[in-house]
Amino acid sequence: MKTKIEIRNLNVWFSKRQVIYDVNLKIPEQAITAVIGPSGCGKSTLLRAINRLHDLIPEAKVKGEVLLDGKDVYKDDPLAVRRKIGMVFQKPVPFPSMSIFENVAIGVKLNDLAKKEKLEKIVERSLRMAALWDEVKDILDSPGTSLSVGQQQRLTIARTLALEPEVLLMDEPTSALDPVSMKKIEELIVNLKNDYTIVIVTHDMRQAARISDFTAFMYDGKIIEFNETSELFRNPKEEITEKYITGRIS
Amino acid sequence: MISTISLRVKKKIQNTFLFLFASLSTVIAIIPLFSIIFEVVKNGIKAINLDFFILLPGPVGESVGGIANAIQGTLILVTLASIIGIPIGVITGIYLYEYGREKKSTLISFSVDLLYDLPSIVVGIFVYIVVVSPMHSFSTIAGALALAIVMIPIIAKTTEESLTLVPSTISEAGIALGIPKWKNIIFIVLNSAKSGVLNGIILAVTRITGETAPLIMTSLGSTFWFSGINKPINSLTLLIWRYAMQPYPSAVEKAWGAAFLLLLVALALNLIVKSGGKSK
Repeated sequence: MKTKIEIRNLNVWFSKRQVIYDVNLKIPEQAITAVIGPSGCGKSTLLRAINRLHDLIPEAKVKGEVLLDGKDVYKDDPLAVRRKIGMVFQKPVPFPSMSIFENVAIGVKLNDLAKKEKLEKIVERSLRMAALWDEVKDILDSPGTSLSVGQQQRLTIARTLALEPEVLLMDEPTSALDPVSMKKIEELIVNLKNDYTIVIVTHDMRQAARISDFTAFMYDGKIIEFNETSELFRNPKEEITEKYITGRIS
Repeated sequence: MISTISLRVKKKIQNTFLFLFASLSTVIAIIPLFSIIFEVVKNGIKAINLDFFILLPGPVGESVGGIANAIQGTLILVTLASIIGIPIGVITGIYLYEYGREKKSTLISFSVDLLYDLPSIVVGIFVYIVVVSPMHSFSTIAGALALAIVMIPIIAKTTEESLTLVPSTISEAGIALGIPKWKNIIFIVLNSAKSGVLNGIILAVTRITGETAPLIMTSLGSTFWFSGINKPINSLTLLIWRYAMQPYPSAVEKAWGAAFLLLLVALALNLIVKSGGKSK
């Protein structure tokens, strides 16, 4: 399988505290890679290093390389990087005071990526891909915040897809949702992997086992083990991985 | 057992006493407000008729004429002040939100606080020195400038506060879409805070509509219609100030009428803010 993202010797600090230690990871193209590990182990920090979100935090320092198709994102334009590597957050955050349509269109609009006439098509396509079109096609002018939380999360996924990214980063995208919405999003993620490379951070191990092709186990800022998901859960090589997946550490 | 009961009784007495005291204080606090409203409405309503709205002031001491030029003047002054003050205020607010915590902008945030607390008559003196004096004339633009200076810190502070209330996750979501920083602040963050920012603007407009002190030494007042931004102009507050000191009952009545009008405007603007706050 082709590698889409290669992380090389990645270290992240917040002020003087080191959070990520020498991470090396090859994320395969058009597959779902799950990053699991206990709270505070650095999963989200690792994810945010991939699309340069740490740039916003003055105290954060990132060292190492993140290669997207062989090109270091830290040597590229950060705005272009974030358009190529989309992100979905834990809590769905539709932009308040914007309609459903505007929520999906805003990224394309503010990046001057398409003319007005094309926006409608882009919005429809993105909402279809996010499996939300049928539910909202008649209420596109209603505020995005009027949707249920599960729909809001699919709306933020549509918003990200509108920019036609190559990679989707998902930071515990279902942890704020009810089981039914969670199932819908999981199905959606599985469908999306035909077109996208997906990295999902989750602390729900069953979710990782259900949907991902590869799993990385993180502990204390280090990648302890990376393997095909079925292999990692069946035959963990490290003792600490086994302890985590059998629930002896959390 | 007995001691618990007596403790309970004691608490009840304390509660009742505190409740009575708080109620009494509230009544004392709102008596002046209601008596002002009562007096203004009682005296002001008599002055209101069609002439009051469409005629220029008549000769002093005679009951003919209206206050149309003061209404026109207040509208022009507030509009001009808003055109100058709102953009500067909002942009200052954005600056304070984005860079307010950094050391280099402490001076700016301190200045805004100071300007906020500055007595408005001082603003009037300042504009007198830098605009009226060099131009050798009281003028509409000087009045508008003085009002804009009163407006700016109010809008800047409410804008900053409203922006701070927008969850950082919203700004982050915008950044994650590859949106450039300044576009993200204006179209995502400011847009999310727009009801708060709008409330601040309406509050500032209400405040300057009722300002007198900054106008005394800048726009001066006039008995004619507006005749150019380099000429003096009348306003409701200046008219009240001048007419209320006249010995003629007809002038005093017009002052009450103008006060009634201002009261209605303030009430209307406040209602807009209140309803806006609720619909959020």
